[in-house]
Amino acid sequence: MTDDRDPLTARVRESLLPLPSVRPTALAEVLARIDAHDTRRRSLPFSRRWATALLAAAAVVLGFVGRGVFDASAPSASIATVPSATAGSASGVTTAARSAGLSPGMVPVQFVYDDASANTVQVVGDFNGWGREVVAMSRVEGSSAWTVVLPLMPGRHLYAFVVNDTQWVADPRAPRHSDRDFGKPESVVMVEAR
Amino acid sequence: MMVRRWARLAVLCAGRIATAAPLLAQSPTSLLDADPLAADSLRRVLARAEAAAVPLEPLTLKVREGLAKQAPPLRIVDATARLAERLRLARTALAPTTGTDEIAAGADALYVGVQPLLLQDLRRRFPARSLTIPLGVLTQLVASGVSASRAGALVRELLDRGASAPQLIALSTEVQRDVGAGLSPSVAIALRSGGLLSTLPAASANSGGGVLPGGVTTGGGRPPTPRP
Repeated sequence: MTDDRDPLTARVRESLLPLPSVRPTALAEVLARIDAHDTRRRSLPFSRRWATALLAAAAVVLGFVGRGVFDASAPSASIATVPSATAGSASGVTTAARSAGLSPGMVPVQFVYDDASANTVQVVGDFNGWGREVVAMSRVEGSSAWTVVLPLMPGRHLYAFVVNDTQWVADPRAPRHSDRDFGKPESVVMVEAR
Repeated sequence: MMVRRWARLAVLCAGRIATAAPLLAQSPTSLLDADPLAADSLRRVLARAEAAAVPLEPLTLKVREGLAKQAPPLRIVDATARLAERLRLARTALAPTTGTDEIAAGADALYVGVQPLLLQDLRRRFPARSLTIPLGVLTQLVASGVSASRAGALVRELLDRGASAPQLIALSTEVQRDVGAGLSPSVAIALRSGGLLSTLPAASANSGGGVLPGGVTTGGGRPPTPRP
């Protein structure tokens, strides 16, 4: 929860809220720059490394601000601040928003999938509205592992990986769930509150 | 190197979070517009659900799940209708709660074979406590192969004795791991629950006992437990 009476918080909010939404190409540019500066950063002093870590944290905050997480005017940490949400409707905004990143009770969960033949891997689940375009995993350099970290609500969640845009696979590292409705393989993650 | 990897992950994560919203803005019936018959049927399912005060968000999610899994439209409608019925039963059993997460967790428990009577019993005994995580754990235990009555009795006892949400989830994870390693579900649950129960205080004095129809044992009344 944020406190707008705090001048520092207010300044951070003022500086972050007007930012435009993040374009995929912009993300690629940021990542390319990270790669370009890799060699130089290895020789950075410890304090600069911490600065990099803080920058990364700021990037996460920026993502949440973009989704309205830190809007203190919201009546609760749920649906009201999602861009393009239709308040009080039966649209999917509410469910996916609440479960995909808008609550202060969220816990970061890392998904890992290992597949040397994969060109793309996405994670889909009840926490992101089963929208497979939304959460692409990134390949860990020098390995066949793919990963992504998502904020999830504590509790039980169902999910699967979509490999190369077509192949629906359960997480071999997690318990399976029997999907009697649609017959696709999927897995269960139990998220602990922290 | 480690900092760089985390920076990449954080930037990706921020981007995913920021760009996720637009996809979620469609109404569930419009998602099936390509099939007017299915869209009409879905509209009726949603209208009935709304009239019964069933939360609509899990139904929307079910439609999206079916679309993501490329299921035929009428199968999606069928699955959504079945979920609506489970949600209605869960809502009734867990009354007076109106929390979507809790009702959806109850519907998940019904999906794996838990009886509504057990949900009702848990609500009666823990009227002020959120049952979302306990019901999730119950569901996962049953999905692991533990009988619904055994899992229900255990979850109730653990709540009676003040087990925390992380302890419940850890139990579920350990049982799942044991079963995956080859233990039978009944042995795994006995082993792990014994370990956890030995660390918890004895149940409150007013925890009586009884048996509900269907072999579900019950305890006595218990003062409301604060929500975690």
